[in-house]
Amino acid sequence: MANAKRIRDKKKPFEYSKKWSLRSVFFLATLFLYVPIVVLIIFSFNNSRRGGNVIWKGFTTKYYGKAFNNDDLMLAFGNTLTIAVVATVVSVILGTCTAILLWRFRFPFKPLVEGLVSLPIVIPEICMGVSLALFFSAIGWLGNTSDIWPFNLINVTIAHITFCFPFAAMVIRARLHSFNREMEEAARDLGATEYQVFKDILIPHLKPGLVAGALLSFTLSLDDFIVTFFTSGPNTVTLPVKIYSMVRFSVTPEINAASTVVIALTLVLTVFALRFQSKDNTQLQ
Amino acid sequence: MCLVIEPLDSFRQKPVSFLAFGIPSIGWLLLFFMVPLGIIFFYSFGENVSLIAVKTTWTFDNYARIFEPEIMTLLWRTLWIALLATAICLIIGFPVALVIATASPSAKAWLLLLIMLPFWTNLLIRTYSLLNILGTRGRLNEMLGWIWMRANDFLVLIGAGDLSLLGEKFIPIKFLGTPGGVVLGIVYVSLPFAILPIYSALERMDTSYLEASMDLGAGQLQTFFKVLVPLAMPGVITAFILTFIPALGQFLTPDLLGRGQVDMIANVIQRQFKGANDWPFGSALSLMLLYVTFILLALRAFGDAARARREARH
Amino acid sequence: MTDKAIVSIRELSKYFGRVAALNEVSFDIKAGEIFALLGPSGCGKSTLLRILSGFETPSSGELLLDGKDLIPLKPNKRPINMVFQSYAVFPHMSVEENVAYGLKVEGIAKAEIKTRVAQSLKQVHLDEFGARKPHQLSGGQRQRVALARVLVKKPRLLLLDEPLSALDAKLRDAMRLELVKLQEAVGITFVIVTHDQSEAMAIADRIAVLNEGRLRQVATPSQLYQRPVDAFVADFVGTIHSFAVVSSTQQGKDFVVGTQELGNITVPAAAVAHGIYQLDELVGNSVVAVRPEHINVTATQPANSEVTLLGKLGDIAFQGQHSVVEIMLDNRPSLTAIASNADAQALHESGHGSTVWAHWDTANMLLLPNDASDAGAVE
Repeated sequence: MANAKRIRDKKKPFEYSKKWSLRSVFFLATLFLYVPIVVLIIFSFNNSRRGGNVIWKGFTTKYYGKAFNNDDLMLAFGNTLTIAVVATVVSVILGTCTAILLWRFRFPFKPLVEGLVSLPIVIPEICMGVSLALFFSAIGWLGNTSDIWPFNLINVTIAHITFCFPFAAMVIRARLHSFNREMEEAARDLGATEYQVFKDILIPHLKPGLVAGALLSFTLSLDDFIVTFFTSGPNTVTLPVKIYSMVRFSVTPEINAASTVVIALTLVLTVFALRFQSKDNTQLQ
Repeated sequence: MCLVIEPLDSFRQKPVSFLAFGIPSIGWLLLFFMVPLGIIFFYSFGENVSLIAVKTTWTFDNYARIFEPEIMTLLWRTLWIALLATAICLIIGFPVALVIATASPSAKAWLLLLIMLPFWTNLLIRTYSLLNILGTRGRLNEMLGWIWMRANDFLVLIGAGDLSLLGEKFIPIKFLGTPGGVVLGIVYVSLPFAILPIYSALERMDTSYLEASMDLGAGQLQTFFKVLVPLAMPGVITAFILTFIPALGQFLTPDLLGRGQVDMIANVIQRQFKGANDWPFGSALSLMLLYVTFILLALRAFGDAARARREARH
Repeated sequence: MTDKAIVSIRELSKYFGRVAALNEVSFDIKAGEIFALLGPSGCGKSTLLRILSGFETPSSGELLLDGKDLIPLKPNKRPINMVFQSYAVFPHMSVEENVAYGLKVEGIAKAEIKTRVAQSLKQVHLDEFGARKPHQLSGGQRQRVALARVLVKKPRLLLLDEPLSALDAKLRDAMRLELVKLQEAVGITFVIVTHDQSEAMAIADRIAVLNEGRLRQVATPSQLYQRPVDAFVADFVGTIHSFAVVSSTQQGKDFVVGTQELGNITVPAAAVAHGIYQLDELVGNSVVAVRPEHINVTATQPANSEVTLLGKLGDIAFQGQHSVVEIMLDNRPSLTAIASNADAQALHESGHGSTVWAHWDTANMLLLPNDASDAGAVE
C-alpha cells in the first residue's frame, strides 16, 4: 500500500445527500421553514409598541411581563393546559382500548370499525369543528358561560379527546404488533388470570407506546385551533384561539411574546419525547 | 417476507373483555363523532325557522345553492389553490426527502427532526409568523428590496443603469390578500406533511434497483425519472392525499394571509356559523368537503387494495 | 475458451477507512470462461464485484478490460452487466419492458429492440411471459428476467452476484446446469460471486479463493481440491483432516515430518504445497492433511498401510451412494471417512464404540502451510 498510487474515490451515483444541488434545495426549504419562526421569536424582544414593526428598536423583555399580566391571556393559557392534560389522559385510555380491541378480537363489521377509528384522523378539521359545534348546541352545551371553571371546559375537552384518541390508538397499536403472544400464554400457563396478564404483561410492554401516544395527544391538543374555535364559549377559549382574536384585533408585541412561550413549550415537549425515545431504544438493545 | 399472523380471539369467546375494550372506544366515536356528523347531515336538508332553530324539511335548496356562480367560483378557487400548493409541496418535498433518505444513518435522524420540528409548532403561530414576514413592509419585501438595490447597482456598474431594466424603483410585492400569499402560506404549513411519506417510501427503496438501472446503461437523470420516481410513487400519492385534504379545508391561511379577499370553502363555512347564521347551508358545504375527502380516500383505498392483491400473489 | 485475458486485475486494493476489503489482489479472467469468486462472507468478493461493475472505486491498483483502463468509466458506460443478488427486476415494468430497458436507454431503434428482446426472452425460456409483471412471476422466473435483461445487452463481461442463493435446493441444481449451458450458448465471460464451494466447483472453469481481502489461490476446481495452496483453501473447498507438524527433516526430495498422532511421515515432493520450501519453517506453521475419501476403516488391523490410527467407531451416516463413518480418537477431534455402504454395514455390525483402524497411504497426504499469508508468497 505504501508505494501504490492512490486513486481518488469517485462520488457514488446514488448518494443524493452529497449532491450540492439537492443539498441547496434542502437548505432553502429548511430556511423557509425556520425564518418566519425565528423572526417572530427575535421580534418578541423588540422594544416597539407595534408588533408588526419592521424596525429593531432595542432589546426588551417587557412584553413577556405584559403577556403574563394579561388576565385573559393567562386564563386562556390555563384553559389550554387543563384541556390538554385531561384530553391526554382520556385519549390514552380510550386509545389503548381501541388498539387492543382491533388487535385482539375478531368481530363482525371489523373493517367498518377500523374505518370509523381512522376517520377523525383524515377528515378536514373544519368538518369536525362544525359538526361538534352543532352537536353541543343541539344538546344545549354551547356557550354556557355560567358554569364554574373547570367544568365549563367540558365540551372543548370532549372535542379534543375525539380527535386525539384515534391518533393515540394508532401509535399504541403499532407498539402492540411487537408483543409476543407467547409471553401472554406463558403467563397464563404459570397461573395468571386474564386481568393479571393485562396488568402485569401487556401494559408494561405497551408503556413506550402509551408515552408516545400521550405526547402526541398533548401536542395535538395544544396545537388545535379550528375545533376549539367552533366549540368554545367566551370564557373557554384556549391560547391559540385567544391569540387569533388578538391578531384579528391588532398585531401587538404581546402576541409575539405569547407565541414564543408556546413555541418554547413545544420545544421542551420535543426534547422530552426524544430523550424518552432514545432511552427506550437503548433499553431494547 | 415472513408474516406472523396473530391468532385473533373471537368476540364470542371473551365477551366481557371484548365489551370492556369496545364500549368506551366505539361508544365515544359513535356519540361524539358519528352523531355530530349525523346532525350536519340532517341540517343540510333543513331550513332556518328562527335565529338558532333549524328544522329538517328535506329540502335540496342548500345543495342547489352550491351551484350558484358565487359559490362555484369559491369552490374553483379552493380547488386550484389547494392543488397548486400541494404540487409545490411535492416538488420541494421530493428532493428534501431524497436528501434525508440518502444521508448517513446518524445524520438522518437529525435532518428529519429539523424538518419535523416546525410541524409540531402550533399551526396558528406558524401562520401568524408568516403574517409578519409577508407584509408589504415585511421582512420578505425588505429582503427583495435589498436584492433589487444590489442588482440595480450592478446594472449601473456595467453601464446599463439608464435602461431602468428593473423599473424606476423597487415596488414591494403584495402577498397579503392575494392568492399567491395564500398558496405560499399553505405550502409553509403543509410542507412537512408532504416530506414524511415520500421520505418513508424512499427510505424503504432497495438501492439495487437504481444500480441495476445504471448498470444497464441509464444515466443519472434517466434512472431518476424512469426508476426512482416511479418506485417512490406510492409515497408521493400518500403525500398528495395528506397535503391536499387539509389544504382543501384550510381556514387560517386564507383568513389571516388572504385578508378576507381570497376566501376558500372553510372561510365561507365559518361565516355561516359565526355571522351569517345559516347553519343548513354551512352544513351542506361542510358535507361537500367531506364527500370530496371520502372520494379521494376511496380512490386511494382502491389503489392500495389492488397493490395488496398484487403483492399477495408473490 | 481461449487463453486470452479479458480482465486483468493488478494489485487492486480497496480500503474502507483503515479496513482493507481488498488487499493487493492480482489475477486475470480469461475470455469465454466461467470464473468464480469464492470465499466466506466479508472476504472481499462482493467488493471486487462492485469494483468491476463500477459502483465502487478501488483505492489503488489497476483494472483493465481488453487492455483498457476501466476505472475512470462510470457504471453505465461499461460493457459489463450484472445480475443482482435480489435480481432487482423493476417492479413497475413488465417483463418485456425490463428486458428492453437497457436497450432503450442506449437509444436503439424500436424495431431492433423488439427483435432482440424476443430473442433474449427465448434464450431464457420466457417467451410466453413478456406481458407479465414481475409480481406475477416465481423467484426463478424473475431471475431469468434479470438474466435476459443483461444478455440482451451483449456485454463483454456478465457478473452474477450469488445467483443461486435465493432459490430452493431443487431449483438450484437445475439452474446450475442451465447457467453453464447458457454460457456455452452465448459465449460471454461470466463472473460468479459465491460463498458456496460446491456451487463454484460445479459451475466454474476457474475459481479465485479469497479470504480477508487477500487472494489465496486461482485454479481450476480439480486443482483447487487436489492441490490446495494452504490449509484454509483445502478446508474451504471440502472436508479435510489435518495434523500439526512438530518436527521436520529432508530426505532427498521428500520431506519427513513428525506429528503427535501419526508419528513420522514421509511426504513426497509432489504433495508439498506451493510456497513451502524452507524446511525450518514447517514446525508450527504447517500441517499434513488427508481427505475423508482417502481414509479406509477396518475392524481388523490392516496389513500394509503406511499410516495407521487406532480409534473407536462413532456414528455412521448413510448418504445415498456411500456412507460417512466417524472414527472417535482419544485426544483430538474425530475423523470422518467415506466408506462403501457394504463396508459401513459390516462396521455397523461390530457395534458403536468398537475398536477400529483408520489407515491411508502417505501419497494421499498433503503438506500445507497453515496460512498462505504467513508462509510466504501465493502463486
